[in-house]
Amino acid sequence: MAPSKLLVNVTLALVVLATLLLQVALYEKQMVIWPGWVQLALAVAVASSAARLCRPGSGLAVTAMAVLALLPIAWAGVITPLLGYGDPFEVCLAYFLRNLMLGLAATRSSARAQHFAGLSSLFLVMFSFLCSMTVTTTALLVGYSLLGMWWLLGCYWDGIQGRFADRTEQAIPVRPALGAIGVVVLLVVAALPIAGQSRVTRALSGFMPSSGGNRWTDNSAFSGVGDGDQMVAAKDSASSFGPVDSDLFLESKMPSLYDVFNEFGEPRKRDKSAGRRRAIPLAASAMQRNHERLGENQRASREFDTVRNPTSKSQASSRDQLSAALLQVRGRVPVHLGLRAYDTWDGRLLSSSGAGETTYRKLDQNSPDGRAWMRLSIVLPDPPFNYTELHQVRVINLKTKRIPAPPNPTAVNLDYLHDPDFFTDEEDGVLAINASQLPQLTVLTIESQRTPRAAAPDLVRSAAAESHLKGLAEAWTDGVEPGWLQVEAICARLREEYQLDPTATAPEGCDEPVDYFLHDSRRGPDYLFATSAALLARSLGYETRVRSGLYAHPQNYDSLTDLTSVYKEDAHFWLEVRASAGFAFNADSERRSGCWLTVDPCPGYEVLTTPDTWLTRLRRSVADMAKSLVAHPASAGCVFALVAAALWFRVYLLDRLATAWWALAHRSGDARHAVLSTVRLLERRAWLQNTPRPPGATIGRWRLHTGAASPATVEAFADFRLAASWALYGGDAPAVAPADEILTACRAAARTAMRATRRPYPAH
Amino acid sequence: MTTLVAPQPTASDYLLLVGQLRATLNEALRGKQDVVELVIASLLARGHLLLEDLPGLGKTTLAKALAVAVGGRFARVQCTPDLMPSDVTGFNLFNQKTRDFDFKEGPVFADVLLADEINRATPRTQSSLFEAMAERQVTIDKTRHPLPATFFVIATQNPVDSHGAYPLPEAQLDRFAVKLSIGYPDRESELEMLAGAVGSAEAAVPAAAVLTPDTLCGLQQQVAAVTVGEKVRGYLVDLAAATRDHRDVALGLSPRGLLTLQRVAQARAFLQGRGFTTPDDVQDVAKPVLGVRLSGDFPSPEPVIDQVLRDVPTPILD
Repeated sequence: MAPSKLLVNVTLALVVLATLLLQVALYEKQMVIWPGWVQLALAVAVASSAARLCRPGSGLAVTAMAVLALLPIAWAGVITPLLGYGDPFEVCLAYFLRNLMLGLAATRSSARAQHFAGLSSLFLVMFSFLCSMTVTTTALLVGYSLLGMWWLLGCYWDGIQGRFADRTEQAIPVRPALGAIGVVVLLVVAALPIAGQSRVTRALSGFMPSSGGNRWTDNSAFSGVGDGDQMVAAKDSASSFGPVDSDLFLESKMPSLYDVFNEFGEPRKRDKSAGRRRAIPLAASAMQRNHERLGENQRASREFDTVRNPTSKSQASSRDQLSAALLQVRGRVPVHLGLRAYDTWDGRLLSSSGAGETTYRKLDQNSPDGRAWMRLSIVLPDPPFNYTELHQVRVINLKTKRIPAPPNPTAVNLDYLHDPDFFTDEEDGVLAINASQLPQLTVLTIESQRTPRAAAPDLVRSAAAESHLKGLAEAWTDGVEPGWLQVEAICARLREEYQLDPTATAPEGCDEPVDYFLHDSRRGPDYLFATSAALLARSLGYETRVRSGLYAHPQNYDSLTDLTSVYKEDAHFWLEVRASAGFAFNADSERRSGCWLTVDPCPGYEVLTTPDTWLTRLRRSVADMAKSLVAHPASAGCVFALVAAALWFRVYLLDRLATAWWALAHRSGDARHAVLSTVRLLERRAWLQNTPRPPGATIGRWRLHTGAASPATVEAFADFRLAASWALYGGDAPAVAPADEILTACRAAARTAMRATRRPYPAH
Repeated sequence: MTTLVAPQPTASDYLLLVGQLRATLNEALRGKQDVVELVIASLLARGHLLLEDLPGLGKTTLAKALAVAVGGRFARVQCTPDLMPSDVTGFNLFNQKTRDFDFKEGPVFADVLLADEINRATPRTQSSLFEAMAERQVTIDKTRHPLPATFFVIATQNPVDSHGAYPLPEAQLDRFAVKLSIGYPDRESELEMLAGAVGSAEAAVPAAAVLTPDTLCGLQQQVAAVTVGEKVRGYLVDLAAATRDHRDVALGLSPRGLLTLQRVAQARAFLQGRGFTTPDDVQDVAKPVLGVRLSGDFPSPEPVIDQVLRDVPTPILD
């Protein structure tokens, strides 16, 4: 039964919404987004071509559906290994289903196919929404739900339109059930050679493929099971320590922030080596006791939700996976993680005056995300322009009690933290824990507020102190509007005219290293850049300070794990300028109420910019793709040239191919066979020329393009049409003409009808 | 003693006869070759013909010419509201001499019956033609009276003047094989017609019969033997299903209509000189055959038929 136009259109709308929702949901998950969009573009191109060129249910339509279905598999098998990154197995399956759905909806086939497309869209929507529950996906889900109700109504009315059941039967649908089982078996068998036995076995045992799974690793997976190289936050049976967010705690003699009261009420024996002064109390149920040596996992890893059911398989003991990183950072980079602040300069030494502000802390246990956050009081200028950044910092080898936080931290989360006094302010105002050092593998989640540079916040400015650098600062900022732009101008000058050289320190006995750097050497390490910029800005009246800490460099970002490792070499100095809060009772209160804005005068170092819009990400994706092409210019050029030539001459090439095939089939000499193969050739040419035979047009009524045909050609065509009628419908009737005449007519038709060139003929 | 048997006409003889019949009808109705082809196709398919057109366009002329050419008896009934069924079928009359009832045949006992302006007859009278058209017999006072095997009804109706008209019910329309409109002739044909009328006191009538009832039966047998391949049969069924599923059509093609469509398509193929039927034949006759059967909420079924023909895929390659 043909579906109604309403049902077809509503199904198409549902499918489009589901596709959009899937893309939006995966947008948040995928490290590199352009392959997904390219796949979608390919699928849409094939589906729309099939809709335009194929009759519903025809062999060509079935072929198009097969191409659509195989596209994600082919991509995973061919393109992904070349690119080095791809999609996890469940996303490939989602793409598979999406492509089938697009094909069915676009080809406007039977009502049953439309129903299948609609139900597939429902599955994809549920999948997508479970992947990403954001405002956008929720809005799309609401739209989908409304449209879905309309679709259900359409299905109902379409089903009862003008027909009533003559009788009803209750029977077990044996054939469809057997068919479905057969399809599943076929898919499994087909997946074995494509994905490899181990991967399929793992996928089947865990229902969804994984990144862990008994040493097997899928770098593209979002989540997983098992104990492979990828790190998983355990929900039970944890086998190693690691910097992950887990509710499970293991017994260990390593320094830890967490203490446990066991079920007998006995306090755990204190580990003196830890030097711990305060600890977070834990319930005994949160601890898992172990009698074997546990592995330690310091490797950079993505965070995974564990889907780990108890199995009979013996778990191999975990290996230690050590890392040289001080920290691992999840979140946008580059980011400056401050450890110390220096506001005093005596000509040679940077130091802290000890007048760091006290941060007011308040425990927030009613956060929407269910975490207990330690809120910190920070006043930022121009609140409408501010935005929140979230970073997760995993302490690996860093030995300090100071919290390596991004600028202007407003909240810190540490599991099971219930005591505001657990934190303290160091003399320079840097937040620290009330212990001797942060234990290894501690995971801190830090929320920070940032003011975009584009907002050009007001800076706190006081009477400039007398400085011999004032002249230089004024020369560098001549004609620049006072405020933020002047600070930027100073930094820009340093970046452009001075060279970063960690080895170019001031010579022994030099009492004015800044002057030596600015006037003589014009090269130096980052602390001279930061100090010089701070002093120059201070000479203009801006309140500045120098920060030291760690710089999470984008080049250390691992796209597979979504983590940026920070090493010893990333220790760095930069500059902070105080911005006005926009309200103050007097100059002193203004000075005290403002916040610090990060500025980095060192060449090659960037300050975190505002979050990317989708357009920016798209641009970057295009740039990434371009970079890949540039990295392999020869092969990319060849492939591009070949693909371009094949596309440009596609009609011609395919026509030549079809004609060659026809010539081979034509050699048998059988008149009926020759006629049928010629009909097939003409249909193929018409399809190539984008003027396929309309569904209702017979061979006799089909207006074939014959160009400037001569009368003889027209006559030959008439003969061919008659011969085609006989070959197609004549059955046992004698041939309408002798075999040689029929063959001649076939050749004439093939020679002149719709000879395909690289450009299509005008449609009739 | 040797018995002489008349030789049976060959296929070429039949085609010759068809050519003569075609020429005769084209002579009577100028410039309407397509209509003539469909009239002949309807005749050879043993289907009845409904002509719906304005007055004076040649409906009666065509019917009379066909009757003469077929070579049988011709009868005409001018339908009016006071026409009784017995005026059409005949009646039993008491014979005082024989003291018995004699059956007086009505005009229906003819080879070609022209029912002029059939929509002016009452439904009761219209219904009296049901049995005659469908079964080629009439039953009067429990006595069955068979009609000639070549019985052929040409009915006309005027679509414009609807006062005092009784539209034919669907059941009766389904008895007709095709419905045709003749339409106005083109300029050349009208000039030719005028020239032919000069010097002739009476309207031209075909001089002689082309066929005999026997040869007509033979032709109809030939048409029935035309091959209809599996693909074409499938196409016919698809078309019928499409008319039934069409949302604007209240009454789609009935199985009887489907049989008629196949038979008229066979006749069309035969007239083209082919021994097999193609989807072209089906499409050629689809409008006149479906046009008399499809009913629904539309002023004319033609757009619906066009859409069905456009949408139902023609079978070409597997």
